[in-house]
Amino acid sequence: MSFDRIIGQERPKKILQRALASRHLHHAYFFTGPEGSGKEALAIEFAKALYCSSQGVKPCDQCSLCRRVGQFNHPDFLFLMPMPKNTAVEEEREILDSVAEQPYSRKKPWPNPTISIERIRELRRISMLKPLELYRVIVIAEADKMTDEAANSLLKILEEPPPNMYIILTSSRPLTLPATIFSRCQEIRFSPLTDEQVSTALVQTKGVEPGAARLIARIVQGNFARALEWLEEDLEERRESVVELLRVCLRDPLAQIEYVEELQSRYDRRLLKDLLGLILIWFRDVQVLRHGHAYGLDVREVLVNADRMETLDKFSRAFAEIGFDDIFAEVERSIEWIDRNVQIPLILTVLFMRLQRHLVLKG
Amino acid sequence: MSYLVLARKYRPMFFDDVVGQQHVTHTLQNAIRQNRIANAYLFSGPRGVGKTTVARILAKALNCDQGPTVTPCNQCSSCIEINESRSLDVFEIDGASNRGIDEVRNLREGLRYSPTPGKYRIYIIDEVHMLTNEAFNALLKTLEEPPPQVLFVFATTEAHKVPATILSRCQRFDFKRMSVKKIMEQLAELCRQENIEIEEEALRMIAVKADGSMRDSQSVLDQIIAYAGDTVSAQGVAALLGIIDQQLFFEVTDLIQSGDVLAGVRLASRIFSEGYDYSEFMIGLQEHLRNFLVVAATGSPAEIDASEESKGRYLAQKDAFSVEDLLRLTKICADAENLLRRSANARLHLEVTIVKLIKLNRSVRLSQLLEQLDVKKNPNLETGLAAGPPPVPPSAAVAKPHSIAAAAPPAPSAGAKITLAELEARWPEITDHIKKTRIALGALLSESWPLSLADNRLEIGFAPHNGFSISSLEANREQVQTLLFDLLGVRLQVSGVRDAEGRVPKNPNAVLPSDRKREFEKLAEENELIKKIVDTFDTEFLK
Repeated sequence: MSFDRIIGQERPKKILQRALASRHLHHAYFFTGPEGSGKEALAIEFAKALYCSSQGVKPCDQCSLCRRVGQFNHPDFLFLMPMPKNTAVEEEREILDSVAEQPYSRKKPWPNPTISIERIRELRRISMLKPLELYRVIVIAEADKMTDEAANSLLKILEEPPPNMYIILTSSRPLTLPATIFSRCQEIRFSPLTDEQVSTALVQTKGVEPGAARLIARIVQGNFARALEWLEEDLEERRESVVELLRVCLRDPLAQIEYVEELQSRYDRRLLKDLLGLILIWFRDVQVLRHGHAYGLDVREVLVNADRMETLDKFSRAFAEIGFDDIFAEVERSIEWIDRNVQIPLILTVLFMRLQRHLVLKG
Repeated sequence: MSYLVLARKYRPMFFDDVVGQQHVTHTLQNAIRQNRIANAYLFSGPRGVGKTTVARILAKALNCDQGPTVTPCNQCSSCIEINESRSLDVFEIDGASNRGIDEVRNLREGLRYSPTPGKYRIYIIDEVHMLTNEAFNALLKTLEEPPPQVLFVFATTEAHKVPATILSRCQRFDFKRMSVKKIMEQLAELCRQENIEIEEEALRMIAVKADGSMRDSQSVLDQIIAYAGDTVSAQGVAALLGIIDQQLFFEVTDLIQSGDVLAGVRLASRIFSEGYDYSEFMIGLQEHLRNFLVVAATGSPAEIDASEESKGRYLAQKDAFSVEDLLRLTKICADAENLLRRSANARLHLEVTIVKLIKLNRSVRLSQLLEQLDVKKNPNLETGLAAGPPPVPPSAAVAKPHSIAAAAPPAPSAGAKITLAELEARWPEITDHIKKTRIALGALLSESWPLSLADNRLEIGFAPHNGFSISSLEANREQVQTLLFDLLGVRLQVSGVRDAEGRVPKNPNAVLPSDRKREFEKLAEENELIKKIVDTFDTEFLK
């Protein structure tokens, strides 16, 4: 990879390239922006560009330095990311390799990964040593996963690191970190990718058929990591499940409980989250469609599920009233509960009950 | 060689260079002059306002060859050593990394040696709030009565996390946030020294962005210089900081006025493709609504912080929204902002929120409503509320599918009527229904019956001994009226009366005491045993 192979993000690229060209480099950068926008990918490229023997504003990807940094095999380059407690060395190496290979969709460590104070202490110890080459670069990915102690013990070194040491933090939730961290870094904000960028990247790098690519782009809302994940999954089957789930919502509790069991056997937590995300999109479409009906407008172009126009239409017409606000809030809450490790059957049963209440059938 | 960032390059070297903290620097200088140095200081305040800087200057001032002096020379070996942080007498400790009791014990070991070659042994503990409880407690004795010539300086952003026992042993200095003006002045000075041309407006944007912290402002300036070179324009700053064009917010409020949902969806997709930060957008929108609020409330744009052009636009549109509407819109935005931060589906929620804002019904002003009432002399408050169309927007008001008026089940109108016979027939059903929601009220009404109905005035009869029920009915009249309205769609004026005739209520479930008495008497006549009991004990029917 080189800078060109990072999707979009023209502004961050330009800022970094100009800084590289003038060598007015800040010792601490903070890459912020939504998940899957390419923060870690650009951090790695930036490190390569710093080391690269061509000393240009782009990594050459040819020299041994570029390659060693890219494979995380350079002693002066350190990539820290949240890991669960007591992760075995081999396992850690495996996860890091997956980052090196595809920074957008790396393997997610599980459960409850954090960056501990021991890691930061180790970092401090290393930083006292003289780097082998000219620079030492440390990337701390998902910095918001640092424990409170770790974040605080990073402060001093973040403010005044030894010469020729550069630290890059990345995070999609920077505001959960202490303001003292933020104020010591130069923030570089990453924008969410546009649908256009995601679908083009899917077509070009993964050879996805353009129609499917566009649909995935709409669904992932600018998160390229999720787009890559969707490629591995059966999107059509998931969308079918959405309609099925909503149908079950209207049936008696017994049928719902049976369906909950079935769902649970088919999907794990992550897939369920994806499914709930699709439900949100479904209701968004229904809302737009209903509005279109009320004013006699053609809203087809702004629908995500445009290819399922008929089902959408039938669904929309079946109900006298749909409490959209409440439904969005309920589904979003269920997604949150999945993250918080609430029992799946409980979440789904409650969701069914609530959805039923907010969907008022005609007649 | 490596480039030194502005915040480090321009770290103040003298007390007088420290900006905006005169209350601290003057006090410390006077303390030095009068030789009244405390043995422990605590510096607290927000990030990037100069806590560590002042601590270092204090150390230099005390240990300077000319010292103790209020103006450290920065040339003697002691000052240079401190500047390069290799002095043997000044220890700058990172409290967050060395936070355990063992570190504090080590520190106490070192206290026994007298300072050489300086005059004071100075311990600067930065981020002191991160020390563990044990570590703090281990410090207490030392802190109260340290050996002579030992000075502690603690610096922290979170003084509330420091135990009270520590606080009471220190002299505490609270550092202030910097004002936008101070930061602008300082940055302008800095740019002069660095030979950088910068527009006034650009300086303002940077200062506002820094939110009271000098270091933040210098970080941003650094970034901008790296990006733009020697001449910095306001436009360049806006692009770099991702500041959202004010025009976009005006478009949102225009759409709210016109009620065009489809345009709202299109606007949302434009926001996505511009790559703005979603929660930042929501914050900006709230700011925008707040500006409207200020203009609507004060009638002039003097109080808002905006460009002249925007001020004119705010003033021109000051009657577009009522204060109540603005507050409701702001509430929706504030709720959404929270959600946008957490959710993985932020894009969808931003779009839905914009649609929600656009579809929000305008609140009817109470004063307008009262006027309507006066004109019509309409006793039906509810009817007035539902039928009075929201005054704006004209095109959408009628067709809105979710309007409350359309959703209310029985369309109330002046023509709706109900007869006494009908009411009598439905009375059991009505009382049962009321029981479901209001048990007490339902029970009360089940022992009553409709008596007369004229001009929508309903008299409800109660047995003569039920005076208490009548007063409860009077007390809950509003509720009864509302419940009846919900059921029948007719607004009735309800009153309770004693019905001397003691009519049998139509409700078959309700058994009146008088009924039972009759039953009892009948029973007594038929049954010999009961008759005997009645006669022998001279019984009387009670219940």
